[in-house]
Amino acid sequence: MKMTFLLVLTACLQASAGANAQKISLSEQNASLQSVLNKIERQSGYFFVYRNEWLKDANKVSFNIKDAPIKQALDACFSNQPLTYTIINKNIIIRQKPLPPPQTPAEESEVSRPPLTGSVTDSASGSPLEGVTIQVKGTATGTTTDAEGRFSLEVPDNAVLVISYLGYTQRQIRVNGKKVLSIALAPATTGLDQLVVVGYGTQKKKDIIGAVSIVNTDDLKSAPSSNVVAQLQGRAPGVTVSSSGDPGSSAIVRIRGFSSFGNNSPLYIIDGTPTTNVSSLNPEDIESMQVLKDASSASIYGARAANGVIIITTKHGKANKTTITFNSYVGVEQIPYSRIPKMLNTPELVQYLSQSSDDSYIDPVFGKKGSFTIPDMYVVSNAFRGGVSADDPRADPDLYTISDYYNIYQIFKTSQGTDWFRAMSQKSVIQSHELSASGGTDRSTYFLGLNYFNQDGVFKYTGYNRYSARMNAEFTLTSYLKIGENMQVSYGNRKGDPTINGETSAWANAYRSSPFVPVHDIKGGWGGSLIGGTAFGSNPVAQLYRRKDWTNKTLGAFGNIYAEVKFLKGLTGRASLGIDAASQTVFQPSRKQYEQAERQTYTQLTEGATSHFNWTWTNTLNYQKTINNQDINILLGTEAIKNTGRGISAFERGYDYETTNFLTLNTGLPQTLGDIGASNPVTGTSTLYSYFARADYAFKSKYLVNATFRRDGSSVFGADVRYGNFPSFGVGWVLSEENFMKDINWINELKLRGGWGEMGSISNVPGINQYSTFSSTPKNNFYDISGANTSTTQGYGVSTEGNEKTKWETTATTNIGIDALVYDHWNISVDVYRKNTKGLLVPSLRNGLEPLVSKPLINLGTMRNTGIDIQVGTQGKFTSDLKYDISLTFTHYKNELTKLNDQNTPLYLAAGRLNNVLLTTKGQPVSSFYGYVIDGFYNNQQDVDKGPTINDMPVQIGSWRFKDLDGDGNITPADETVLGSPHPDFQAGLNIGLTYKHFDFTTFLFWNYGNQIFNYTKFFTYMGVLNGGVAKGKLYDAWTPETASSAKTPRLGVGLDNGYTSFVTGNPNSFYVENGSYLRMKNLQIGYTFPQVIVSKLKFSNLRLYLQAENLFLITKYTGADPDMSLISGDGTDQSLGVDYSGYPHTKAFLAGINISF
Amino acid sequence: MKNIHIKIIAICTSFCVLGVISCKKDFLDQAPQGVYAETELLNKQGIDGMLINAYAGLDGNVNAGLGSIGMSLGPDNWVYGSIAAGEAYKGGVNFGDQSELNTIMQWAVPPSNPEIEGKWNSLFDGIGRANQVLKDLPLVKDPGLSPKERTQIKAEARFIRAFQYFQAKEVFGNVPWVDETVTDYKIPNTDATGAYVNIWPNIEADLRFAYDSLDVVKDNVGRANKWAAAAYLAKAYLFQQKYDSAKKLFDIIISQGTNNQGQQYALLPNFKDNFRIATQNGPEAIFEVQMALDASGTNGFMDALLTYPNGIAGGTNSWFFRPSQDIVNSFRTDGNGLPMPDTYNNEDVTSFENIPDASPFTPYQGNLDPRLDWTVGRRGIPYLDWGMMTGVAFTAPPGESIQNGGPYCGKKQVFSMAEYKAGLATKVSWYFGSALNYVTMRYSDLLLMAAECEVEVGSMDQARAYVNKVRTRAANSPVKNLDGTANAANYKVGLYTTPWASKDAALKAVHFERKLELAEEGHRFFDLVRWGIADAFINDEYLPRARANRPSLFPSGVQFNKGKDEYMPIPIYTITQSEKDGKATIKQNPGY
Repeated sequence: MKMTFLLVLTACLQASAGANAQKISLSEQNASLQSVLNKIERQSGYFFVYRNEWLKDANKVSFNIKDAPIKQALDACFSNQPLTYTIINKNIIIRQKPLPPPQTPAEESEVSRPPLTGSVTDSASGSPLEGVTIQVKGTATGTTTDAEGRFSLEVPDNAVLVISYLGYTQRQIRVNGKKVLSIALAPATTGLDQLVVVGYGTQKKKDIIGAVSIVNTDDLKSAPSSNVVAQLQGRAPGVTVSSSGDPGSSAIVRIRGFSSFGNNSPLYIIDGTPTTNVSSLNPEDIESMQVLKDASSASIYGARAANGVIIITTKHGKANKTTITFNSYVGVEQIPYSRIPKMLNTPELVQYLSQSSDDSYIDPVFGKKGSFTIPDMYVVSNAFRGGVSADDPRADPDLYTISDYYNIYQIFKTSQGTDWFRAMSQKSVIQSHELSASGGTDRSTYFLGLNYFNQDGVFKYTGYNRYSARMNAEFTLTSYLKIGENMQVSYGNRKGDPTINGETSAWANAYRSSPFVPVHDIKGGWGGSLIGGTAFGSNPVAQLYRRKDWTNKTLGAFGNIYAEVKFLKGLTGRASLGIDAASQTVFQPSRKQYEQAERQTYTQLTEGATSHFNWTWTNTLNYQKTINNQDINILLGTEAIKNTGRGISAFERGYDYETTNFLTLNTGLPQTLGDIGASNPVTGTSTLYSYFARADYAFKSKYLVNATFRRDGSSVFGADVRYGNFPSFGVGWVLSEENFMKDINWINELKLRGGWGEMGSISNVPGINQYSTFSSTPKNNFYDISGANTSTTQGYGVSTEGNEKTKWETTATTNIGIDALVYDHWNISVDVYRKNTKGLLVPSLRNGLEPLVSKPLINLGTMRNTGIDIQVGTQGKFTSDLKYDISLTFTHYKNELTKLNDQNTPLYLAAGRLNNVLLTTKGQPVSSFYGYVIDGFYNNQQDVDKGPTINDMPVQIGSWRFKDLDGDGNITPADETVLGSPHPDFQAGLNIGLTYKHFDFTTFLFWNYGNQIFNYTKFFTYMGVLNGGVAKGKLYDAWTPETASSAKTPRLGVGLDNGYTSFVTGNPNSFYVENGSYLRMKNLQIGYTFPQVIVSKLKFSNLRLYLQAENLFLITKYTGADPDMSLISGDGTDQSLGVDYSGYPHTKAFLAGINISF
Repeated sequence: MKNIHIKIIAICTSFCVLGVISCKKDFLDQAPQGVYAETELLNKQGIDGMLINAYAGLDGNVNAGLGSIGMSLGPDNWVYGSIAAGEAYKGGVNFGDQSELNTIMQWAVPPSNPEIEGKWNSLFDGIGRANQVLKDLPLVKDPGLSPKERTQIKAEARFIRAFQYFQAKEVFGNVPWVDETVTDYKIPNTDATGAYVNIWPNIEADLRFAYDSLDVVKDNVGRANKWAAAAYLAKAYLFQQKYDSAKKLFDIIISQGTNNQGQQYALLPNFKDNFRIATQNGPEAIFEVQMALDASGTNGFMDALLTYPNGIAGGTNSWFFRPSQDIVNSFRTDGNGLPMPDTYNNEDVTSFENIPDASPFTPYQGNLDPRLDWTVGRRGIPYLDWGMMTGVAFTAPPGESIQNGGPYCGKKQVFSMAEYKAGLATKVSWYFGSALNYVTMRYSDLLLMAAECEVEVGSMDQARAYVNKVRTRAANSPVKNLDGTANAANYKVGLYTTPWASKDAALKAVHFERKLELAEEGHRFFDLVRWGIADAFINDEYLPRARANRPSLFPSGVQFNKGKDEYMPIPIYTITQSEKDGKATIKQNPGY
């Protein structure tokens, strides 16, 4: 609505701008300048460009003209004003007249000087800057530049000019008697004086020693997403990101590899308050975002810093600058169907069946082998299941019933090939609307933002919406006391089936459903898996439909209040109290299913609620002093954090109605056995108490030294070991400031940095780790000792073994970096690092003779990450109208587990129904793929005789031959080996921005190279264990004696002719492991910014429209739906990475958006 | 000046407040929630709860095995005792379903097989639960716990430990002994000379203590009593071929033994009553694992959950544990109603294989032992009270053929319609839970073990009397047709009326009777091994026919390897974890 209105308005105004008028007739007496200008605008068709506040001080005007040229009218208006004007085309630019020279002491004004003249330009583009303030330092003397960027000013020879302009770095220039000055201002975003938010404070960019990636938040926000971290992919070197395309789901972020194999999520600090979840944050509220990657920058966060720290600062108002912005986009998303693996249609399925069934096989739908036919209809009932012709009495629609779930009679039109993927998905709308206001006075500033985000899922009956409101304010109460707050309240709701991974997800069921089954029967009931060959796949559309009322609602408040006291000059104290509170409710009615082989015959409602309340109390004392050429900055602080949480979850079964309104936990039918249950997911309480300090020292801004120290105490460790110390230090050398570098013209700036430090990781230790505990759960500990049959007696069993000696994982990081600005506009930043984790928390392994208790984590392992982060940026212009801004990020890490445990026993994890798929062991990166290597086929009897055998069992012609790695002529577990790694060799992001006049063009390309993916979906589509859908490749690439040389998959057949032996279907092998490299155009955007003249006419300060395409193309050899898998974990730990359990495909999206500010 | 005051106050305030927090030491002490500390349980209620926990370990339903439900881990040993003995095929949707079980069916189990690891873990978890009771019992100072109660708790815990160890001996053979005193679990299963340790004396000691200490009558039917301990002690003697000791004890039990409600041991009138909920824990029960359909739904007969047929309770199920043609043929009887241990396989009991459900089918017309039709579901015979067993509809997954599992389904572990309707069985999630107990030892089992001892060291006539007692009950247990008017098949069960000609003939008859009486109850493989005839039976009698019948399950090369396949391999994980100074303290079983 809002957007449409603005568009119409814009169109109307543009029309009026074209109106034809030249001569002006006016008669005015003591009229306000504003009103006169309005009249001139109307008569002339010219536009005025000015700032409102200037006109407030304008004098009244009186004149009388008739049919005069416009210049005469303007001269009349401005003759007695502190303002002047310039006509450019049809625009009239109004400027303030230069201020009159100030009263200066007689001694200094003895000699009248010719004025200093000069021009101010943008250092990057070279274009003139209008309105730049030029002031003589220490005086009120000053002026502003005109439209050509020129100025003139009378100044003493020894004056120092302060040149400032919003959005640019302030410069000070000594006049030194010069009469003409050419001044270039650098945009603040690239300026070295830019203040960067770092741990517990800010630092000038030029003084930073640590490895800090400053994320361009405009780029981040250019892509539509509810979650800003998903957009980090490729935007910051050293940061690897994977995300599923699921609405409302979070993204996986890893900074510089893996420092443990539990949780490696970074710590997020939003306005000083820590959190692990940023999904409720509105991306538009973000002012800046920094990624702290090494010890020099991050170890001030001590025990929580080892996985990197992402610091987010939200927007604040600026004094005397009121801005209202409206940002909005609407778009359509869809699944890239061309990427979906191809499945057999019904005629192909019949062909497949004739090759894979024995001669006596009778298919209930297609009939007897040898005369398979696809019937018009088929029937599913208790009495008869099978194919029939349309005129068969069993296909009589009157027999149809689904009212009794135990005794259904369904009649189907046999499908020639249902495309389950299309059937379950939809084009969906994504939209976001954001309105914010900011501003303030000298004593207070504010920022208010409202956001509505809505994303319908590309899977039917799913979606996510979120409302959020932010209120940030700061008040300067006295000269020494400032208070403020940052607060966001958000409400989000995920609707529909949240299962995005694994064999019971709707997407997996699309693979697992048979092509001849239609979505609906002849009367609209659901097609399902109660007949021939369909086994257990459930109709994915029905699954999504039955779960359409599922909700997962989160109401959260996040923010802090703070006070800042200036005790003495340079000594500031700050106290901040932050909260992170949220409550989440889950409502999941699970409805009866009649159409499934493993059907559910009751209605169940599961409801749950959890809440958490975390507070962080931070007190810091900061002392800043400049002595001669030495800058000293010292920070001392304490921090206390308490996280508390509690939850409940319950279900009930047996409802006589399935309507959502009826379903509550107490409206189920009178309870029968096993139909009600409750659990209490306690999340518990944990606390952290810390002291920390930082000292920065800079000599002549040339030699930089920094040291930090933090001591953390945590409740999750035993009393004797709960404190840990985390020091770091770093040095920096700005070479370009040295005399010997001054002659090298092509180097503008050059800084070498180095740092070492230790950081800890706490997120992998459950609070219970130090305690030996007993539990009392029905399944494990209860027994029907009295023979009651319907009830059990409570028992107590050991559930966890504690270890009081478990302590921090410590990661020592060494980082060496270089920052350079060369050839005036090439920014290059390179960091190389080594991270050694010691005391890696690994599960202590249960001895085979011990009872099955949860063993504690112990500090046994060591892990190493090495890597390089590169960022290159350049901006400039090809012609005066065509400008570019290009940046490239490159991320490489190498992860290696250097010790796992004393016995060197590897950790194996299953993937779905396959065992020992994932291996974590010494000498390999965490979570490597493991299994047998396919080494061709047994093509004939000689091959079979030659072997190898499999577990001493004979092998089949046409089956895969596996590599006999130990050469014993027999395939055993000893022949399993590492098949690949989910870790990419590198990831690179290329952002290209071009502007041509008012048009801008941005594209973002992301390249992921060198990892493998374990494509578990092939278990569904090839192995036949669960039946259902069959991949085209299983039929067309199958081994036959004729195609032996080109075949890719085993022979189709029965018994001894079946190449899919139980060994093939039951074990992981190299067939599943695929190349995971890909290149994706993630974003393409074309925008048009309306010229200032039009915008001002509309009383806007900015108006931009854009069109955008997301994920326009993808180049990859991966055969699954989407290769963005490398960090997606099957079980939530980082030991199970890179397995595609039927991943949610990233969608293509097309959007249109508008940005307006007032 | 005023400002300076405020500043000083501000500084003091903020740092005092900080001081409060840092001084408050217990800020960093946060105890876990929702769990018990050991000290809270060192009292009468706590120690009995630990004993209940030890009983709860009997069903094998622990966090291990299939989908952490614990299928194939329980004492019913349908995989290790029955499938490995040729009583049944693995079944499942198809051959690939739970493929790890195939290697057990084919006697080619690698030490890395996760199923055996699950079984091992379940057993040693059970042993650990019993040890926890024994370890904590002396620490309980609760005056409410009388010395007598103390003894009962100790004796029950030792019985449970012996029970778990008995299974460990049967399945894995050479296991080390772990008791309540252990702190370092790296215990070898060999002695100083490298020979495997013999833990039978330890098992005997536990059972002897339980036999000597336990009361006869217990207040809960689920608890082991004196005679249950005696029966297992006698069985332990039998497994060591200590026939004399065994016979003496069996004699005492047969004359004096009662169940834990004080009822004299006796056979139930009808064979089927051993497999019905209403009649469980009766006078035939020596020890049963109690199953319950409690509110959690997880204490039912979990081991059976994948073995139910289609066609009952509206569910389609997973079709595992499918009776073999060999076991079905075994129930054929001759003109005298006697079994035919040498010739039972000369003719197959007819099955509906290759006959569609819609086509007419005549069940086998020859003489049969009615126990067949309480053991195996076959077409044309009523399936408990669920109606007629109709063929593929009961035995094949939708759209699958019966190639993999064969034309039969099991019965002994399956709940009846009446039980289902009474709420003693229900669909819990995707699976059924039922309150049907698993009977680990019943009186007929004991009589047949006693008969073995009589043949070996006593009176063959007494042995024959025991066998005839079991057969008499069998003869009185016909399955009726649907309307209850007549027997469902030609049942003919006769008694051994003439003395057995030789010890060999007597043993053959006793062994075969055991096969029939306990078919599909998870005992036979251990019996075959104990009798030393596992290779002869499997390789010569069973496999050739099974291979012809179901070629895809038993390709050439599948065979029983004498000297190796008597026991499962010790799981590779156990061996790796036993390493001490780089050397494994657990020695793998021979042949692996």
